[in-house]
Amino acid sequence: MKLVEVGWILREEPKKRYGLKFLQAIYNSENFEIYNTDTVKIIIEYFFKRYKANVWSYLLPLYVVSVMIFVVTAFYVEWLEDNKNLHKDNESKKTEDRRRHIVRVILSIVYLVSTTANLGIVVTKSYFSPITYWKGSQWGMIDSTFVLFSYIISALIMTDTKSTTAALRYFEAFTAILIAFRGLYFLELNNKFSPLILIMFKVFGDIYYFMLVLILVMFSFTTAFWTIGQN
Amino acid sequence: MYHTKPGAVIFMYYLVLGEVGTSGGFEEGDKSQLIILWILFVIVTFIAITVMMNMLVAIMGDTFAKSYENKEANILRSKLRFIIDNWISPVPVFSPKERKSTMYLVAAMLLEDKEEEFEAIN
Repeated sequence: MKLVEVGWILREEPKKRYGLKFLQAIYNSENFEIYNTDTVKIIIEYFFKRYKANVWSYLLPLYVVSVMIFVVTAFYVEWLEDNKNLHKDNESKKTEDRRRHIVRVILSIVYLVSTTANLGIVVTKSYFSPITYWKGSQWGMIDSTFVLFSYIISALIMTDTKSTTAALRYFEAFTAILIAFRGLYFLELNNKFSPLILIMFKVFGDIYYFMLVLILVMFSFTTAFWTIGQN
Repeated sequence: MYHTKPGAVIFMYYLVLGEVGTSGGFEEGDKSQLIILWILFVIVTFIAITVMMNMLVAIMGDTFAKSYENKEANILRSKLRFIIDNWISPVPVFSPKERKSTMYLVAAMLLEDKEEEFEAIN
């Protein structure tokens, strides 16, 4: 049996946040042996269980709602595009245009509300846990890019021109990829998926310098082939 | 293909991936540059495909082996990161009463791992 005192972590003063600082100090430690100690294991497992349940209750529903709004918006905008110019007479065309505009504005507002909720979470995490959220993981970058793209999408939905519809599709394409990546955040909570996701992002980080060398090599040979190709 | 700038970039990209035809497109035109192109081709395939791509696989393998070796610690660290990320939550994790009354955590540990240590000490 082990007895671990955690009351002081829970009763941290809001201004000093000793509990959070204690956990951050463990996270920042480069000595991985610390995770083999029973005390650290007990504290992490206990808090993780509680926070996991908490996150399931608000972060997952928010993610699901964001995905649903994205899917509905993407399909509905395409449907509106497909059914453009169906009316021949001017009066019906005007009425149809007005109706389309109202629908686009409503979609845009719904998108704006869900994005703002996501922005609130990004800002909170960035303010209280910048080290883990931005430097220690990829989630800060993924979430903030998603929020930025979503704001752009909501602005583009409102405007109904040919060029903005084309731009809207570009942003929707990248947002679809970001949505899939954001889903990995929830999969990471599972012990079976967690190592795979961690390794995947670790590989991205580790091959960074290799990619620079590869690009340099490719550039040099590209120049060589192009130069000879001029003969 | 490689006589235009975008074509040269695409040609090199395909070459690095190993996607290049048997002739490499060198037979086109008056074939005046054939020998130098083949020499360049051999050098680039050796460096880019044989050396660089195998290095990439080795780096990935090394990262995988290291991460898998510390699998348990990595999972715990990822859980810790998750806790810190969500430390300030819009939905309270602990009720005020719970925060006030919780003092200790009591955990029951399996003895299997410890027994070996005790035996070693004795």
